[in-house]
Amino acid sequence: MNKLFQLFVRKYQEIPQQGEPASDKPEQAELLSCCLQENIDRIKSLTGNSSDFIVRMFQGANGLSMAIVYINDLTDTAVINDSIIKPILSGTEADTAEQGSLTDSFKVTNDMLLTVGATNTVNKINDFVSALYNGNTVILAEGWDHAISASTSKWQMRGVEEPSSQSVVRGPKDGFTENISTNVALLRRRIKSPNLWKIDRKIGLVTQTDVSVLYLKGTADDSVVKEVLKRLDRIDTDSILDSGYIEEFIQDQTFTPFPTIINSERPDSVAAAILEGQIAVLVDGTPFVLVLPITFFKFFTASEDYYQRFDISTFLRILRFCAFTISMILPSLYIAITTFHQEMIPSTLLVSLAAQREGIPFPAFFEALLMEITFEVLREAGVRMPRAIGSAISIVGALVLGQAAVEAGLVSAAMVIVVAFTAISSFVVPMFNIAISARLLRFALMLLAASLGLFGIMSGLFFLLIHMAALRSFGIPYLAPIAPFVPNNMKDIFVRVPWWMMVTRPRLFAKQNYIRQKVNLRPEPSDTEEEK
Amino acid sequence: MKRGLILLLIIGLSLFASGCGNQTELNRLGIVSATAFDLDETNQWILTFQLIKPQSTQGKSGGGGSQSPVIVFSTKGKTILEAVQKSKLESSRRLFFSHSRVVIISQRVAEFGLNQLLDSYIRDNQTRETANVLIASGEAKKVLEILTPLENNPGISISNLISGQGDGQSTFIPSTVHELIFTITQPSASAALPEIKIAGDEKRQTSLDALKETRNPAVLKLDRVGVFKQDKFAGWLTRNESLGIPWITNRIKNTTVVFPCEGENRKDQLSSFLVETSRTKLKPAISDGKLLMTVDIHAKGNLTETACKLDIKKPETLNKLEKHIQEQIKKDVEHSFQALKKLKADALGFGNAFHKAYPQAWKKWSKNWGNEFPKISMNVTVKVTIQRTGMINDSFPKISGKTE
Repeated sequence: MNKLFQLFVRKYQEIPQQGEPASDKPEQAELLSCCLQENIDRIKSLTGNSSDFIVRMFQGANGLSMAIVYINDLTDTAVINDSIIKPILSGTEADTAEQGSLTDSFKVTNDMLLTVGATNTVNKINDFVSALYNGNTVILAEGWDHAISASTSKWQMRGVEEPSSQSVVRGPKDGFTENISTNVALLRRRIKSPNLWKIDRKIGLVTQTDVSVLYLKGTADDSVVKEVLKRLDRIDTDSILDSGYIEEFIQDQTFTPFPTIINSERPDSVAAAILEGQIAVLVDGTPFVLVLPITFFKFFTASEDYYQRFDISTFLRILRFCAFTISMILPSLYIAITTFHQEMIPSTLLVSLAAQREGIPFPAFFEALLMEITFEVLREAGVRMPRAIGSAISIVGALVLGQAAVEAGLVSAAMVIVVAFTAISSFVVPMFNIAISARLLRFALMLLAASLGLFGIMSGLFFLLIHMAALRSFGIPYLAPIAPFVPNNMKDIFVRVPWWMMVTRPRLFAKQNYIRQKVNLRPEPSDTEEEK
Repeated sequence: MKRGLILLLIIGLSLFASGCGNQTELNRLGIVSATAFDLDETNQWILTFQLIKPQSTQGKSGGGGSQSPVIVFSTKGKTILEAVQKSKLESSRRLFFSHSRVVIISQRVAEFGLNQLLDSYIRDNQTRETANVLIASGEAKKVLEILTPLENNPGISISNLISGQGDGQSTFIPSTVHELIFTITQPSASAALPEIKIAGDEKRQTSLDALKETRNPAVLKLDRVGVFKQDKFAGWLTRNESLGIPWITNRIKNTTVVFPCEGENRKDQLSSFLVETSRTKLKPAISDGKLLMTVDIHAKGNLTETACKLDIKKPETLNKLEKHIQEQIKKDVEHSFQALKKLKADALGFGNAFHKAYPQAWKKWSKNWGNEFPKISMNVTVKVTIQRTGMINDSFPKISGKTE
């Protein structure tokens, strides 16, 4: 597999990395010069004189010729007017009195005039540009060899809404947005602890995407944090547009059907993960936050498990495991049993299945493949098509391909039931990306079932099990705590014990500081005698 | 990695190359629901297969009522397998025996011996040892031709007939292949198989038209019991003679005992007792050099019917009734024992009991158990408990006819 992979990569290995346009390079290290006009010209040429690139030149109250530079759509014009231009133009008497040296004027402007929150000194062209693209306004003056960047960023963005991919009946309804600072805020709102540490990176030479790593210092495994940062720093690409990019760059193994990193749109589930010692990787521009390291069983927990009563949560969790298994092996099981092991079917059922198959021209495997592919096509169509024609697809799908196919004698009714049940089961699993792996494996297992029967399915499942046992997610065995068996962690795998029982954090992730709560928190009727 | 890739390729290609081995689509299977074994005059096997016609069970899309639910055909061969092989000349589908629930043998086959039949039956990997074996006094293949009104599939109908014997009916003779094998392989025990009989006009019942009538021209019913010595047929027990067998072999589940409620003098006034649980213990003994078998029966059940004027509220009445029931059960048991003595066939498991109790002496007896068995004297003790008397206390004859 790697050999194949290298076919695509080898060609480019000789070309020097850092595939940035060569023209940008010399300027990057350059410092601002002292002359206002020169600086402005240089910035203008660097940005190709883009039309949204605004330069406003004026004379400060102290007589110094100044300029502010900003990008129109990224900034809040009201703030620029009120907090930058206005104070500078109307500068007080005290300021004008001290118009002696240039450094003084810089200090005065920065410390006494500007009424914006955060300001910064920049002296490199490079920083200048990135400040602009972050929505800052840069203030230049004749004779300064550095500039002030004032944060004035504001742009239109989606508000905090209910996440579309993981909705709950009970529990918080807010979801991450495309804005990383909103997302960090959502997490900080939940974990008000100085131990919630945040490490920033900018990844993507062209996109300069903000990536933040959040973890609970003292609980999360420091070596894993270090490893995450190491892998993030290795990334040297031009663009990061979604956390999916990061995921593929930092995951442990590429050639596996199973994801080794979870993504979540829910701040509550990410906060819970951080509290258990896992690490969150936030990427600007996407509401999907990466959570790692994980185990296979994390894919079957929904955040609602912890908000509903423990008994129903346990039931639902077991249901999800069953549904996952069904969505993976039901079609292959049907193929195997009806074509190899007819003796396993109860007589009456066998007769009725045989009756349905009368006149079906295709072998069971082909029949199943036909229906499965039809369903995959329908599903893909349903996801991509414009919302307005959604009902058309469902009519075509349900009526034409379901009933009509049976009545036309193309497929048997039992096969339609099998495929439909498989499809529904695949939606039970709360995490979309593990459902995808079941979706792909289904076809491989169907092929095995068609050629070797139940023996084929079993060998396929064994192969999968061996593969899964070998998988790691940032050093954590994928099948832990089942293999290796960690009894301490079992209380939140197949069953979800009541909250007062969860005394420790899962030891897999929280290597240190794993005591979560006091031991004897079981609710009991209070001893009224004593109170009296 | 390269090696892994090649390995994957080999495995993948061999999957296709295997040609899907012994795979059979459902619509290529001829599902056999019952098999019948006959022997012709030249001792050639005649095998008759009852194949389910799946189309006929298809509910709405036509087929349904217009087709016979099964087809029956026979093949002939010097051995059983030869006959099975010849079926391929006649049937477009591969015969599939795993769902065959019923094996019917003719009396001629039973007299010929079951050894060859059982050998081929358990040697095959498709056939099931849970199938029921029944004897037909005439030609076995005729039984498979009879259509049954309630079950679509006559084979299933027959097997339900036998498994339904446990509840409510009096005799339950175990007749699955594995039980048969189990009994035959014991040196002393004799197997017993129920007889299946066609009652009525068998010719007319083979057509679907017969099912359109409310009263079918012919029905399949269980009747006598065929007793074997080793693998060979020894003789018949009538239905009445067979009543005692399940009592002794401790196989009573739910059975009705009909008994006269006021002693011998008023035979016309009969009552019914429904046995719910029953336990039988066999106690072999030797007294004065003779074999003595004590059969200890304890039955519990309900009074379900009575034609006598009884004051059931009184415990004495119940005690009296219990005594009558005990008499009746004793009579049934004795009756069966006498009949089996005549056949010199131990279908009661006495041999086993003596074997366990007297392992040393058994070596001597076992050589000639057929002659030892009739010499056994049997002592039956029955204890009956009437647990409930149904929804009313006093018998209805008492309630209605105050004066007589």
